[in-house]
Amino acid sequence: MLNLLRMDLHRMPRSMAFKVIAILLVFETTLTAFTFSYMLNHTSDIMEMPASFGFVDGKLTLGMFVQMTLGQLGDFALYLAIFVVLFANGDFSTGFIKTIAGQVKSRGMLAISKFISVAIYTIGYIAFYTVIAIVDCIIFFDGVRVPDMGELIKYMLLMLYMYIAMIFLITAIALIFRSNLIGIIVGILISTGLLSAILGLVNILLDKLNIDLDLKKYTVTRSITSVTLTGDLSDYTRQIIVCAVYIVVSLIATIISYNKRDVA
Amino acid sequence: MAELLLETDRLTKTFGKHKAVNEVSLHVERGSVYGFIGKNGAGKTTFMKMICGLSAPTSGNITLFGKTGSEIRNERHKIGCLIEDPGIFPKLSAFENVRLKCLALGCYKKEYVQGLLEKVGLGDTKKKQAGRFSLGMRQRLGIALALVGQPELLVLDEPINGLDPQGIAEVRDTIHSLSQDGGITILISSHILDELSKIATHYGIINDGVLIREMSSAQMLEARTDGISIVIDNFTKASEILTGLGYEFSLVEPFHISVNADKQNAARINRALVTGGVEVSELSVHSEDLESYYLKLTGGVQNA
Repeated sequence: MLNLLRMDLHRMPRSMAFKVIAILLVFETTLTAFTFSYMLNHTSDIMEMPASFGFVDGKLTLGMFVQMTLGQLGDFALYLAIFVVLFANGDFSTGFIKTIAGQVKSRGMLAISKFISVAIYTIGYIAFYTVIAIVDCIIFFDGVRVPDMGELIKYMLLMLYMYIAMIFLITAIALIFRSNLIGIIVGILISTGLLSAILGLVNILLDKLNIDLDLKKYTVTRSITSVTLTGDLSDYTRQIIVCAVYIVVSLIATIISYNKRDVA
Repeated sequence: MAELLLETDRLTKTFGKHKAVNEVSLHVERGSVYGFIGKNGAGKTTFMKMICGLSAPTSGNITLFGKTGSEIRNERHKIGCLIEDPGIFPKLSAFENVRLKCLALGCYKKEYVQGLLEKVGLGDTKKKQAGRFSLGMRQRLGIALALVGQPELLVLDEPINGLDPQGIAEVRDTIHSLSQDGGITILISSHILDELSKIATHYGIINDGVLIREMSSAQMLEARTDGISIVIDNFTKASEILTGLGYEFSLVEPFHISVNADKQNAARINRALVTGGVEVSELSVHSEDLESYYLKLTGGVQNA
């Protein structure tokens, strides 16, 4: 198991997608910071806004910047999803899986290794994003303002946990279907909010059938976007459970798929 | 009989109603080079995938290194495989590709990877991306990947398919050296039967999922019919003499006949023809080649 993980982690930074995604992340975060800075400089009543709104002395706090970018999914989630699909499915798309699958005692280990690798990548991605966000705050908002460090750490950890749930779901779909295309389509649907729009239509249908069920409540995207800096952990019990279910189901379904299905 | 490294007992793989591999009972001796012959879709690749653990049999048994059932799982690390195309990361170098597999099997050492690459003639490819390799180089990289972990059994599916004559010679030499110097048992399939006949010590012929013949190369040589090719000046007279002696023959082209007889009969036929007044300007003994034998067994001139 550790050997497989070593192999995956060795391959990860050597892929072209790894470098491209890192560049895109820097570009996107910096451009967003610049845009916010420009907008805020042209808004007159910022000075009066309280810290609870994410402003200190009329300047955006780091926490609010994170919430307005990473916390809203969009491109930040999309880049992550694209990399994860390309990386996790790399063994299948190149055929490399055929050279190793027969020699491991349990093929499920190959799947577990992929999930651990993408979780590590997600941690690295968010850590790298945070570094860029700090640098951008220094450049565009005249310094890093963190009114409540505990609140920010709690928010970031919750965000990381939910991002991992989202990434596990996308990874599972890519690995079960063994398709980059399907994985990326699902990644786009989830990260751009299109899935929520589709579920909205399903909700209307359910409503017409007199079924009282809001499917959106049980999506990983709703979970991520509903978390705020000032919220308490107890406010997010449902979201935490929903994400835990996604993590467990994604893992189990993929391991079963790896063990039961022929490799090629 | 030598020790059997691999044995299958009525191994079957079904896709829907189609039996891709139908009750194949095959025997591979330790140290042998087993040539697995069959046309496209005969079931070779499916059979090999089951041996390598990439595909689960529908029924039947596999005995590997004397172990069967769930115990095989612990023996599969002794098998290296190259099934269909070599599975490589095209943006990585040969070294990095082999290194990845070494990391997966827990046997990475720089010298070990370099040694494997040198064994297959890729020792000087440096940082060149594997995606830029020629087909022959990629096949040899596939063999290097299959060799990671020092396997005792190498399963090679069409390793010389699509290669130019130079590439074929390189891969053939690599396989020959692995078998002769490395003592590795090899199960190899190929369309190019003439090339296979240069390295195989045993053969299995599969047709429509069924193993129709299994034999050593010596048995194969014996089974292939000899023929005597004669160039004469008078077909009518030669025909009377050969019919009188009880030989079957056919006219290849004017004044050139082929007699169905082994080489022991060559002197007798020559003497009879000359004595009977037929001038023999050329006489040679020929053996049926592997391809003709295969086609005769499978009953067609389809793609081997």
